[in-house]
Amino acid sequence: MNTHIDVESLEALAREESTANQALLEAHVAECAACADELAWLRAERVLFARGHGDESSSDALWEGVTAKLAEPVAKSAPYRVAQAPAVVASRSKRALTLVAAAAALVAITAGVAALRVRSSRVTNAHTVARPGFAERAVSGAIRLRVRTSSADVQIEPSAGARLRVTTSEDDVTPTLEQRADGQIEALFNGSAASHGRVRIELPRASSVDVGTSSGDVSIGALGGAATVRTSSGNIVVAEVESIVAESSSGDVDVHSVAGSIAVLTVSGEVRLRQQRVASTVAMVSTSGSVAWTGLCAAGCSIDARSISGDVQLGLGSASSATVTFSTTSGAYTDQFESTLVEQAPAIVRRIGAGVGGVRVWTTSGDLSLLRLR
Amino acid sequence: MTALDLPAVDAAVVSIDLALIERVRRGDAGAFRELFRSHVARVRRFSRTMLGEQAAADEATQDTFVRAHAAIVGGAAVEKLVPWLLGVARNVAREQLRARKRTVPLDDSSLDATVTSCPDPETLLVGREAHALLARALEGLSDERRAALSLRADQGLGYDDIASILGWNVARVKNEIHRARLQLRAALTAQLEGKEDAR
Repeated sequence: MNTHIDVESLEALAREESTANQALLEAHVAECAACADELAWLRAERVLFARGHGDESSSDALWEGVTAKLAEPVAKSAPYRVAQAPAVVASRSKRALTLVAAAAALVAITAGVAALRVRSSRVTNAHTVARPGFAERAVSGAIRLRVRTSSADVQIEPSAGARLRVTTSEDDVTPTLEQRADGQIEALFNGSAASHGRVRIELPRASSVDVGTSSGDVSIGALGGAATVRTSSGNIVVAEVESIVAESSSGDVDVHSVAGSIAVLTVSGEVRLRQQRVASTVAMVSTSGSVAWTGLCAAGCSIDARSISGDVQLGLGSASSATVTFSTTSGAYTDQFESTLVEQAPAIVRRIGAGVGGVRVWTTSGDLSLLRLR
Repeated sequence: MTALDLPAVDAAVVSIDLALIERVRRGDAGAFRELFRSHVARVRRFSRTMLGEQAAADEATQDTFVRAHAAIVGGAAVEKLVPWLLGVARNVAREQLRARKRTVPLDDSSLDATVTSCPDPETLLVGREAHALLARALEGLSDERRAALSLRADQGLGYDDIASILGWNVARVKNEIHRARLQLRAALTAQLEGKEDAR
């Protein structure tokens, strides 16, 4: 072979990414000194950048600095102009309006940060009880809780009073409640993540939770605050929270009655979402698991669903009004509505009713079905 | 039918990011904390590469997130969060560099001649502080060229995204990254040869 390998292919080899013609490329590199040297440099460059960043210390202090700057009076924040980053779509004619809006929003976030600080100060350290299988701490309002387990299941629900209570199914585990620098309270189990058994947590309504587990199942009900849940193989069931970000590799994700934004990501797990009100922002991604959503999509509704091979099924209330865009390589499209075809290629675009809301679905081989609900 | 031009690999991240952005726009302070936590390491690394000093990089990282927040709640349409955020970081770093009135030698007329074969990776890395080695080598690059190389080699962005961030066309991005690599290799070679001679 007289020609050399292009740099993009060599970069992929340096990153050890699989490519369709990897064997050919490697054979060429074995014979071509120039390509071998270029590959060696690219590998060295990769290692240098990976090792060449010195201080990877905690970002907590940086966050404190960000919140402090956000909390400054708007007038002082004026030098922080809206960045002219390339993906910002804001015409010059709108710039003044944008800046006004940004100033107003800064006031809003200032209030938010202040509220956040108030929340973190609500913990009453004097009333903490901890013993094997049980911990309780008095609080005076919503809190932010962090909990990690390896294989222990986690059940979270609202408390009857102003308290944070943690109980475990295992008597040899003593839960403790630690105040973190970022304002969160972290539930620890013998000083670390819960390894097995079941963990039940009760906390005030409107509290936010951040749950991570490897193989444990997670259920959260009627909490009212924001929830973030990440599992590897555990299933996730969430109902009646303010907003949810849920990620799982092979676990299934069920979400019910969430009025705010929803983001769900799975690799092979199935995704099932049910909403009662008009959907707001919903993002659902699965590699091979099926994705199902039911609810009403009208003004303010924005639904994104992406799947490689899993099917996507959307059950829309009969009063829905949405423009549906479906892009696929080999998937099929069906709907039970008298929808209007707007465009056939490169993506199918159909309008349901006045087409006010937005539904966008991408698949490689998965089908899209739109079901009409009463 | 062809698929829309949304990279499947990034789709999951894009979706999660878009949902997060929407929450930030609605004034959800927790969502902004989450956005910060997810991307601070990346921004910090880029700022460090651009500014060289950790303290300056940390200051720039904070300013990047403050500006990003103002832009998001101000209605900026963010299609891909990571390239957009790094674009903001690049603007912040550029302003700091301007304030320093830093001058950078840019003479790559003889680059091809000065670059030798890649030393053995062990020779390049073992026994030396990679951070110092890289930092010194990057110092010789212009700010824009350093940004382009960092966005490609460290951040792993595509040429289109880098072009979007730097306001260049893709051809220029490729050329600048190529020249940056030649410069970097020349500088690394010079450092290694200098140290070898000193032994």
